[in-house]
Formats: sequence, structure tokens, C-alpha cells
Amino acid sequence: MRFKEVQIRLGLKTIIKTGLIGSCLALLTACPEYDSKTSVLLPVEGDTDFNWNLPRDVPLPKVPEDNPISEAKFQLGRHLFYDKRLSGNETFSCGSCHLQERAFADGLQTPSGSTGMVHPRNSQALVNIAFNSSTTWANPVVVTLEEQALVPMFGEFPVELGINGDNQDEILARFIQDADYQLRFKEAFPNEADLFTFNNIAKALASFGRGLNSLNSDYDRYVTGDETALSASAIRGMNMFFSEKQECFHCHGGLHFSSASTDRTQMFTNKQFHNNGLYNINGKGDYPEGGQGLFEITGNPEDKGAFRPPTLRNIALTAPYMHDGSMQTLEEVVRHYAAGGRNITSGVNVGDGRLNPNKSSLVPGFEATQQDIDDLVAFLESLTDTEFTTNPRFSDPFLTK
Amino acid sequence: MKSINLRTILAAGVSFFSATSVWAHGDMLTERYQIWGAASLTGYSNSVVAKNEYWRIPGLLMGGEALPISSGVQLDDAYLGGFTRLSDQASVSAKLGIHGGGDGHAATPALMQLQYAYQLPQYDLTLDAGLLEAQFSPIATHHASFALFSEAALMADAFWGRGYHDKGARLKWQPSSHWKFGLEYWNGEAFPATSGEKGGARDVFVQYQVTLQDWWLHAGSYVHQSKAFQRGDARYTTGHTHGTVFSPLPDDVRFSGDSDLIGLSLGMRTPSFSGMRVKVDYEVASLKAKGSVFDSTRSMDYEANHLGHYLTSSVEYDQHQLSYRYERISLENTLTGTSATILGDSANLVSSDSPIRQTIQWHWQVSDGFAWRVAMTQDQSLPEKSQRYSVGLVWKETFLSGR
Ligand code: HEC
Ligand code: HEC
Repeated sequence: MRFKEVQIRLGLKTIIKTGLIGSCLALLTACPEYDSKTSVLLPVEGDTDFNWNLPRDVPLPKVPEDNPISEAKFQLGRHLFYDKRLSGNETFSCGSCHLQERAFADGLQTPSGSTGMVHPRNSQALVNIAFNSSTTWANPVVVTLEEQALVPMFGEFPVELGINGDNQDEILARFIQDADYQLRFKEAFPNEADLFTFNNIAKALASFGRGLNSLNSDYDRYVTGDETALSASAIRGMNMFFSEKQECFHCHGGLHFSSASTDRTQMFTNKQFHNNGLYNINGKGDYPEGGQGLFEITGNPEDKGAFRPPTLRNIALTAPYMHDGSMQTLEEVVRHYAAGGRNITSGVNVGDGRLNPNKSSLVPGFEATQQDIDDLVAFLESLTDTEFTTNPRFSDPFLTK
Repeated sequence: MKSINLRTILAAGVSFFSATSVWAHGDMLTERYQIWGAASLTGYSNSVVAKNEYWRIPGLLMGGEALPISSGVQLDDAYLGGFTRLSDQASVSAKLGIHGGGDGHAATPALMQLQYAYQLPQYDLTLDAGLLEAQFSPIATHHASFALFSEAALMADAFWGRGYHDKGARLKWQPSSHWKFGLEYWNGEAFPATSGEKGGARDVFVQYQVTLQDWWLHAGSYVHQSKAFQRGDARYTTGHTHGTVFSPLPDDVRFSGDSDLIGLSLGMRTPSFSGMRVKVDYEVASLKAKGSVFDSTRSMDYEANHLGHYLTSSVEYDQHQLSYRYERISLENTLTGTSATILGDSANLVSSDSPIRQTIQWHWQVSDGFAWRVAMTQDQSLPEKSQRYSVGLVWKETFLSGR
């Protein structure tokens, strides 16, 4: 009796088991691909083969539809960038103010152009500029590198390369007569009848600029897994940089160390301008004439002293600092932030920048020991990418010829 | 405890014939009024995620109330419920509850249900309206103090954020004791829907049950459709106060689009052989979502094709129940667009792991109002496998009832 019951139970269990597993299997096989998987479908892009000097997994920059990038354009742009024939008096090139060994800044407080006219602004480093959401220190209007390239060529206030209505044909003729450029322009703009135009020159220069990418610093090595790449001091500095106390990352955050950056995966560009408390002339928030930042374009008094947060990549190579080159060292910059602004007690620019009414609330000042300052500086120095400043791809082709 | 024998309900395994629905909706209640309380208290040996971290299953857009259990003694939930018949046709029931869960989250009591039910016996119809608990699936809502296991089904956590309750209306047609047809229409506040013009949800379900020579059999099926507009993962941002410092919140990535759920459930319970019964519950559901996933600057097209199922088998003997639950979900995602890599990453959608969870439990109904449960869970809902033990106490009490 007992025995029989056990048997019944066993039989039952088997029936239940098989029945259930059977129905499960029937159900499951009815749903194909029962294992988890993720398919990532990226649109086919023509320019992923271009040597961007970027790691594979980094989103590429936006490129205007009418100027797709190519190696030929990049190389033409590189030649033009370093070619003094691109200035009215053949004494200046873009490379005169943008030197590779200085991450394409020039080491001067403010440069002079080909005719000796002084530029009111410090020469900017050209580092990951393809990712900037606007160009130059404070201009929300000139957005593409193509538009920007025309400024140093044709600008009158100040004159940089000194190209104008009187000499422009002569300048184009210099390139038309050059057999090497004949080839290079043809290669760069294969289907165009009118090759030698300033538009095409701007397109080539912009393409060169888009290739100037630097993501190979000690810091990058550290974040990709090499724990020995940063010193203990730099690591402390990094933690401060990304903390809510020092606030740096709010404006200098992201892959390119500027919140004013964008890439092709983004629908919206994030144009940003901030006042970090450098001046406060007359206590009314004024900056020196000619250096009023965004205000010069918008005319809005609240925009006085607002500038685009620059990238901090290779920052150790690009002294002096700020839009007017008014700070000599990184230590001075860090002390400026620790103080929450700059207090100028004598001279024409007298005024307490800490109290500038337009100053961003993200520059409140913070307590810092000498060690903290050294640590932050050590971190900023770890953003230097010497592969970038020595890469022959970005160098002056006329020197090596 | 005159008309409802709690023990029977529990022994029957509340999962199918969800005790909550019996309690809450009053379909079968003959009482005029009733006030009851229930609570579940469990001590867990481990947390699902490390302290101050977020439970995000790779490959899944989570939301709703799907908070992870954490180590230590935890109030899974506690309820105070009431029911009163207003007339032969109409009744009102309400449920105030606390849902525990989530490390560092202080639970606050909330109204879980406030339902007005109107019956039209001549047509076999019932109309429910108000703040309702969904009935489309046996696990549509989870109440640790009524469910067999203290932890909600993985599939419910994954597909509808654990407990589905929302403002809405339900029409039920029960032409016989075997068949139940239901139509639920929701405001859309419950995950995976959002409310408002571009949101909303609805479902239909059919359930069949029969007892043949002491074999109890059950089958049910449902289709649930929802629309979401800019739906985020609100699990860690709303309705909770952070007791401790959390890691920075995950990126605010949102979803707009449609989610369609189709499910099938089967259950059976054998007659008693020498006082022993076997009970098996099975449910499978497919979730298809289609729309876009985006953050403040990026957007991509998104398609999900997920499948989840669980199998619970129990052996009952006297007041004891030994159960084993196997759960698995497979997550298939298709991300399309220039930002697919980046967004896939910040939305945590890139995965080839299929979450699996297995639970063995001993449940002992000590008395009508008290039960113990001791469980061991092997959790592979995250890429890192973990194991935990739990000991819990379930309490229920009818404070007041009358005919
Ligand atoms: C006289 C020195 C000088 C010359 C020559 C010069 N630049 Fe500049 N460059 C500057 C200065 C100064 C700025 C900042 C301008 C401003 O803020 O208004 C700048 C800014 C830029 C920027 C903006 C970078 C950014 O981060 O947005 C680009 C791009 C650039 N230059 C490219 C060029 C190109 C291409 C040429 C040659 C056609 C050129 N520059 C010639 C001094 C120079
Ligand atoms: C509110 C936004 C903001 C915050 C916060 C901020 N910066 Fe800046 N930073 C700027 C802006 C804008 C400039 C350019 C200002 C100018 O030239 O007038 C700048 C300039 C700099 C420069 C000089 C760059 C160059 O190319 O000359 C350095 C270095 C720098 N910041 C470092 C830091 C550090 C370190 C911190 C944190 C302690 C910090 N910044 C916090 C906005 C910010």
C-alpha cells in the first residue's frame, strides 16, 4: 500500500516535470533568440577612416555637410597653415601665432599681426578645436572653423594675415602658380572647377584644424587603466578638480576639458560663456576696453567679462593664461580661483574681480593650502600630451622639405 | 476569520488567485465591512547592490518601484486595509501601505488603493474605479506580506517596475466561476507608462480556472499596452529621502515610445496524496518596446525585445511548504543612431547577460496570522553572481469584520 503510493507520487512528479518543461520549451522556442544581446547600429560614416588622432571609442566631431573631411584636405590645410604666402606681405602664417611645440599657442601675452598691429587677445591653443561649440574666446556667432579661418586672413581690427580686396588676387595667384598646390587643390576638391578660392582655403584650413586632436596625456593613460601614470599629487589634484568644492569640472569638464564642447552624437550644442572674476573696473563689472568678452557681441551688460571656458588640455604649454594673457603661471591661475577672483589694487584696471556682479556662482573661492595648490597644478600639468606637440603629422611641412 | 480562511489562501499559494485581490476587491466578500492589517519583516544576509549604489540591470530600462533588497532586517511592506459595502451593488476598499526596499531609503506610507466597486450581478459585471491595483497578471502587484516569496518576481521588477497600481478603471465580466474577462484602463502614472496626453496605458486579460477531481488548474493571458513620454528612472529620485550619501545619480536618460506586454500564465495544484500536494506556477511574458532614448543633447532609436519567465514549484505538507522558484529574463536591445554607443552606455543598455535568479524557500504557516519563511537566493540579475539567505516573518490580522 505504502509502496504503491510512493510510486504514484514519483510517476506524478515525472509527469508534472516533463509536462511543464515541455510547455516551457514549447513556449520558449516559439520566441526566437532567447539569449540576451545588444545590437548597436551606427550610421555608415564616410570619415571614420580618416586619421583623427583619437582613440576608437571616442565620438567624432561634427563636420559641416559641405566640407567633408579627407586626408587631401587635411594635408592641403596643413601646408596653407604654415605657408607665409598666405599673408599680404608674406611675413606671416597661421603658424606664426600657433606653434606646435606650444600646443599651437605662442607664449606671448598678446601677439602682433603681419603689419605689427597688436591683437587684443591671447593666441589660443588649437587643441581639440573641432569639438568647440563656438570659436575663439567669446564669440557665439562664428561657430564653424571655416567661418573662423576667414577672420585671421581678412580681419582688419586687428590685421593678422593682412589679406584684403587689393591683394587677394595676387595672393591666390601665388598658389595657382605653384605646381605642388595645383595638385593638392585638385586632390582636395576633386570635382570642382574653381579650385583656388578663399572658401576652399578656409575649408582646407578648417580640415587641418579638425585633425588637431590630443587625447594622449598622462591623465588619459591613468583613466584608461595605467595607475602609475599620475603622481600621488596629481591624483589629489584630480580629485579636487572634479569636486564640488573647487567646481572646476563644471566649466572645464568632459573629455575635452571644456563644457563648451560638442560632438556629432549630440543634437544640441552647448554654447557657454562665463565670467570668472578677473576684473571689476569701477566696481560695475567692467573688463578693460577691447576685452569685454561676450558683451562685445551681444551688448548685454550682464555678458561683460563672459568668456568661453577654454580646454585645459596641454594647458602647461600655453602660458600666459586667460583671454588677455594676464596670468603668467598655472599657480597664479589656481590661486585666482582659490581667492574667488582677482583683486587689482592699483593701475588703470583697479577693482575687485571677486565682487564682479557678473561673476559665475561657480567661482566662489575655496580654502587651499600650498599643497592643495601644488596638487591642482600637478594635475593640470598631467594634461600635457607630448605626442601631440611632436607628431610630424601636425608639423611645418616646409621645414622638413 | 469567518468567511475567509487565510490559511487556505496562503496554502493555495497566493500567486494565482492573488489573496490581495480577494482582500482588496471584495469580489467574494460577503462581509459588510472589514479592517485588516498585514506586514512582512525579513532579514537578509546580503544586499543586491553595494551600499549607496543603484540597482541597474544591464540591458534594461528600469523604473517604478523596483528597488533592491538590502542586507539587514527590513520591513518589506506593511498594510492597513479596509473594506465596506455601501449597498448590495457598491463597495469601497482602501489600502494604506509602506513599501520598504532600497538602501538608505526612508519609506513613507502611501495610499496604494482606493477603489470603488460596483456590481451588476444580472450581467455578471463588476466595475472598479479609483486608485486600483492591476489584475492583468498574477504578479501584477507585489505584496511581500501576501506573496509566497518576500522578493517580487524578477520579471515584474523588470517589465513593470514591481507593483502596478495607478488611477484607472476596470470592467470585469465573470460569466461563470471558471471564466474571468477584464479590461483595465490606466491614467499612466505607473511604469512603464507616463501620464498626460502622450502617455497612458490599458490592458485586457482573460483567466480560466477549474477544479477537476481535486486538481486545480488555472490559465491566464494578458496584453498590456503603454505609452511613455520622456520617461526617466524615478526609482531613486522621487518619493524617497536619501538617508545616506549615494554615488552620483546615473545619467538622466529618458525613453519616449510604446511598450507592449503579452503574457501567459499557467498554474496547477494536485490533489492531496498522503497529505502532500504539489503546486506549480508558470508565467511567461514578452515585452516589446519601441521608441527613442535620449539625454539632454543626444538621441537614438530604441527597440527592445525582452522575454521573461518564472517557474515556481512547491510541495505542501501540513503547514509547511517547500518551494523552488526559477526566474530568467532575456534582454534584446537594438540601438540605432550616431549616439547609440554613448547613450547605450549611459542608459546601461549594452549587455549580453540574461539575468537569472533561483530561490529555495521553506514556508511555515505557524498559525492563521503568522508564518515564517526561510529562503536562499542565488541572484544573477547583475553580472556579478551573489547569494543571500533570508529569514522572515509574515503577519496578518483582521481587526474588525461584520456581516
Ligand atoms: C596674429 C596672430 C594670429 C594669427 C596670424 C592667426 N591666429 Fe588664430 N588666433 C589668434 C588669436 C589672438 C586668437 C583668439 C581670437 C579671439 O578670441 O578673438 C586665435 C584664435 C584662433 C582659433 C580659435 C580657436 C578656438 O579655440 O576656438 C582658430 C581656429 C585659429 N585661431 C586658427 C587660425 C588660423 C587657421 C590662422 C591662419 C589663417 C590663424 N589662426 C592665424 C592669433 C592668431
Ligand atoms: C564658471 C566657470 C569656470 C569655473 C568653475 C572654472 N573655470 Fe577656469 N576658466 C573659465 C573661463 C570662462 C576661462 C577664460 C576666462 C578669461 O579668459 O577671461 C577660464 C580659464 C581658465 C584657465 C586658463 C586657460 C587658458 O587657456 O588661458 C585655467 C588654467 C583654468 N581656467 C583653470 C581652472 C581651474 C583649475 C578651475 C577650478 C579651480 C577652474 N578653472 C574653474 C571658466 C571657469
